[in-house]
Amino acid sequence: MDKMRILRVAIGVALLVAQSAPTADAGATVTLQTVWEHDAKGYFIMMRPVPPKGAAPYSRAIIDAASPLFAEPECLKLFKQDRTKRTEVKFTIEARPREGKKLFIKIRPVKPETLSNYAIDIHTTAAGEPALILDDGGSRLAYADQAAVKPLNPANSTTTVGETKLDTSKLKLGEGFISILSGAGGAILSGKIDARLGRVIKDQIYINATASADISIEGTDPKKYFNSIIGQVNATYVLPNKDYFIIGHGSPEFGLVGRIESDKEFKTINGTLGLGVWFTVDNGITRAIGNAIYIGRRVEIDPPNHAPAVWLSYDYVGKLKNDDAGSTYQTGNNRFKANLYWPLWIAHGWDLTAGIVDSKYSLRLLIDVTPIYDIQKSRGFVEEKVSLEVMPETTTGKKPAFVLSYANGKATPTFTNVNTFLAGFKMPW
Amino acid sequence: MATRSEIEEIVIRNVQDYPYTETVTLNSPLGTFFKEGDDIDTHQNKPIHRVDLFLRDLKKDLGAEIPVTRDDLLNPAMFPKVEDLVVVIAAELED
Repeated sequence: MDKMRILRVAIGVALLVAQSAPTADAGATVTLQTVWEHDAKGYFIMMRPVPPKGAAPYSRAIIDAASPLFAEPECLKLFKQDRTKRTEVKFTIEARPREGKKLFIKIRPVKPETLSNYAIDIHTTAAGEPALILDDGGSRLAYADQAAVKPLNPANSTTTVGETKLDTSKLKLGEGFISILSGAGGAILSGKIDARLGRVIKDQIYINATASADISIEGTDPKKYFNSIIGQVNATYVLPNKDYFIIGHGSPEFGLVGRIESDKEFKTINGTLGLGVWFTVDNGITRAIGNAIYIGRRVEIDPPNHAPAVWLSYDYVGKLKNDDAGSTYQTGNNRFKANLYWPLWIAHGWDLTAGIVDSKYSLRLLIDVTPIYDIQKSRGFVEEKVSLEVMPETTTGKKPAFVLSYANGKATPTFTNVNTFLAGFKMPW
Repeated sequence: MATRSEIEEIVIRNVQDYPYTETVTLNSPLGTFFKEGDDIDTHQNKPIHRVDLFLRDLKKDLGAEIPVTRDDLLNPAMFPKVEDLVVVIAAELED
């Protein structure tokens, strides 16, 4: 009964926090978003208008073909920006609108020596007129006359052969979780850090590297949480996109996976090398389950549930460091491993507070199951997590979700047994 | 360059192949579709995310660069329906 009272208080607090979350603010004029893109001729800067109070560019064409900039490209100045020094760079403006309006403008530096920081200034014409005419349904829009071009991030471009380098822009905290029912333990704060290295791509063979860490700052019982740090290197072949037996349509990925796993205290460190395959399962059965559970779907605006995602792997396990105190089970050197991950929406747009708080909520069931079979020891383990999430319905901003989870099983690398209910808030950072 | 119906056919086929777990039409909702799929791929440490393969195949089938980026697809407000994606591509490529 006490736990139920705590849950109710927790949901109330979550709702109040959700209502008070800040909203995006922006200037009163259209801004110009710039991003490095690549085509058959090489790299260019794509410049696109962004609405005054929007984060995403206009999806309709508003750049008027009669904009003086197309006839007088000298109104635009392109500079390479090195800290305090600006160096003017020659360029061409391409793809003059054939007719009507245009979504974006292609600015191609004559010699893009580096895809680093650039700056763009747009001046008025010799006659003092704005160089760009932005017309949205007959309404003339003012625009900011300066734009910054960020360095190219190769990790965001997977259709070209990009340079490989350490990309720290993806280093971020993923999900945080504050638990109020952490089994026998106290409050727990946990999160996930992801880092991704640049990738080299050639046709359908991809090489990339990622690192992720599940971190936790615990209360009184540190053994109640899964924890691991994983570094991974992949060489992957993407199979053709077609119908496959049982798993349905998709592009399965098959490849070599090298991985280093450690517990967060670095007491147990395993290096693994193996073969893995990633695929989704989209067939009549999974569609029927997805549809049956999605009782609160608004078919006009909500996409259907995704197909469950699966990976299977065989791993050779090399034990780089093994501290008996941190492990309850000594693993062999060969193992099969799999994972099923399936988020299933139950409803969107539900008023769960009977009008007390003016907000709609979404409900989701998360299924995450990882069976492992130790070939040498002939023993199997299953790590399973099932969560029910209640979250404010929003597509922007960072608002907390209320989460009720059941976690059970043994997780690599320590195989410490976990069997607990967790209830709390999950907050995107 | 392509006709409007060719662009529609290519976009629908590629969304279906993601896979989209019901028959895709121009009115099929997209919204959070790519974002949710990418969250799944991130969770599973999938080497190549499906949104990247989708963009690769879409460009390959259209035979041209398109004014749509990975970040656009992951923005739930950008393309509420499949038709909204078609409109953006057609504005650039339609004959």
